[in-house]
Amino acid sequence: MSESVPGWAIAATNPSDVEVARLKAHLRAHPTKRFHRRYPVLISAVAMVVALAIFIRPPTYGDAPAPGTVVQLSDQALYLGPSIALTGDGAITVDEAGLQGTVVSLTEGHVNAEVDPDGRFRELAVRAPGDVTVTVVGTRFSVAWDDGGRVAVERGEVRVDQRAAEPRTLRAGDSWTWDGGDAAGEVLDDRHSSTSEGAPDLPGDVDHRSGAPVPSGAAASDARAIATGDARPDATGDAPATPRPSPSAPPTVTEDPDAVAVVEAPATEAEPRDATDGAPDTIELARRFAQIGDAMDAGDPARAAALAEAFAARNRGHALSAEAGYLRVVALTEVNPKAALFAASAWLDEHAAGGRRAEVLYLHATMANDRLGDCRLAIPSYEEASRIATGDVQARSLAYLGLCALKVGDDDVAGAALQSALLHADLPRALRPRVVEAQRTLTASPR
Amino acid sequence: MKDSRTPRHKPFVTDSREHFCERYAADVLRWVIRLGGPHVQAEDVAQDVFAVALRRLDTFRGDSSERTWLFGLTRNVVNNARRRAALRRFVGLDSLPEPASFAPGPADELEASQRRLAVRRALGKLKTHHREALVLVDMEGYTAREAGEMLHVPEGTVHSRLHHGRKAFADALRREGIE
Repeated sequence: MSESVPGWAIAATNPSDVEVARLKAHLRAHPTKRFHRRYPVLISAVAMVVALAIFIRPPTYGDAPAPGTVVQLSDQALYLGPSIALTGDGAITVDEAGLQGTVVSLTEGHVNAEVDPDGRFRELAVRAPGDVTVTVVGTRFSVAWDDGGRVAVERGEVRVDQRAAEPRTLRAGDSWTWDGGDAAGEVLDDRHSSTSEGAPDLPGDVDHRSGAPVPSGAAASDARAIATGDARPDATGDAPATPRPSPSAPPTVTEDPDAVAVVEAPATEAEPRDATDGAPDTIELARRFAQIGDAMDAGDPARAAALAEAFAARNRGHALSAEAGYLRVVALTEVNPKAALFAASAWLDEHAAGGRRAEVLYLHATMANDRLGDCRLAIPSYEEASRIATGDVQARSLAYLGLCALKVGDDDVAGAALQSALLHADLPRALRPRVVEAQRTLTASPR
Repeated sequence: MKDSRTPRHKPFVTDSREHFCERYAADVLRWVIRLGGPHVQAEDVAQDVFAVALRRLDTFRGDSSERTWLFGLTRNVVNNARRRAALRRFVGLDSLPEPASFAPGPADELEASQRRLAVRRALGKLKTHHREALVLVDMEGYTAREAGEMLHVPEGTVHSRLHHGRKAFADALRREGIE
């Protein structure tokens, strides 16, 4: 049995006598009165979320076998979601088939996958024995396994991940082979392939073989790749131990040590596009943005931070980009305060104005003061926040500016800020005693 | 044969509403702090609990003890408050952590303040049912059987939740840098 909670931790959660006395006093004065001061704000928040939910109304994935189901492949198409059809001769295990992505493991034979490049939930990862994972977004390919295997890409791109080897992105004309042993697979025609680190950020609307431009959207809609490779089934029959790719997650390195590697096609293909004008699909963007909030609600700020970072990076200039950056800072405050501090600095450098600036300033100052113990770093942010913020952010900024200034010996700033904080209608009740005490200290011993 | 609907507990031993509040203020505040995590305003939520309790005093049937009944109310109000806090954080209205380093007093008080905050953060990271079992048994001193009655789950389930909760709490404390 695990050890019970230590006594000091229990004691740390006891309310102080002052807190109990204060509650009793409130109850004596207003025994049945509830605090409604936050409710208008809450109603606005609920309305915003409801509106967002109505706006994004996620499309449904549709019927699919439950995870763990083994499916014998045939010429009869197996549909996984609205965009993926599998045929072939062999067996697959459905690892995941839903809103989070589609992942299947090929256990024997070969599978042909046809993926609608413009459809929803089109991200597909096929795992194969030997820790090989082929990930594709919006293309058509087949993976066949026999004694000797190869991947040959006719058109489009596929990415091949193999444990202990760098991921390879294969483009039209490339071939990859693997003998099934311990050695990594080899690229036979390396004219176009690259490792992920060295992958050039090729534009999507370029024919990767000729380099000639093609009409917008053609690269994705015409994508076709044929992949074959050796993949004799494991003796155990177990699925390979490759980290599960998360097709819907962003390709980013997160602060979370438990984060899995994310495998995804280049943004030029992965990013949802409106078929008519090439602009990002607004609904899809909203859905991705909502995933950040979902991760926060699910108590996974590390994932929320990673999603927000990817969203902001991919959609620079979009109205939601700044908001995603802000949410990233918020999420990081719970994961890695130092990273939150740096993220806040970067956000502030990038966004000289905007509705979130005051809050990011406040977060920056709080992380600087709390985590680095650097009041001097925090003061400029508190100062600016106290000028441009409203409501309780302004009140808190004034209060902490005063407290910080007192700490570093700037009595003039401290006096003015503390006085302003005390006069502020939105100064949180819990903060008031500290401000009063600081003001008393300042008055009692002017320096 | 005893009527199963007969209350096991005398409805409200407390003789007045004021005494009711006085008697349970510290308990409710402590429960809120332990169940609510760092993002709820404990005193506000505690006051909400009493507002609900006083409105429902007349409906108390005595099926459980007064304290158990009040804990059930607290549990519901706290869960609602946590949901509201999560929503506010999502829309950016409640994302402002209080700096811990401004607690008045000497250095040891400062450390105690930071430790309180860290413990609350660690508790707040537990799953709700793990936290409830941990709070009731390890912190409030109830037996697993009593906790099971309060949470409406079998005693074995409490033990299971307790085991996972303790482990998760210890991990969370380590991540907070305190053990």
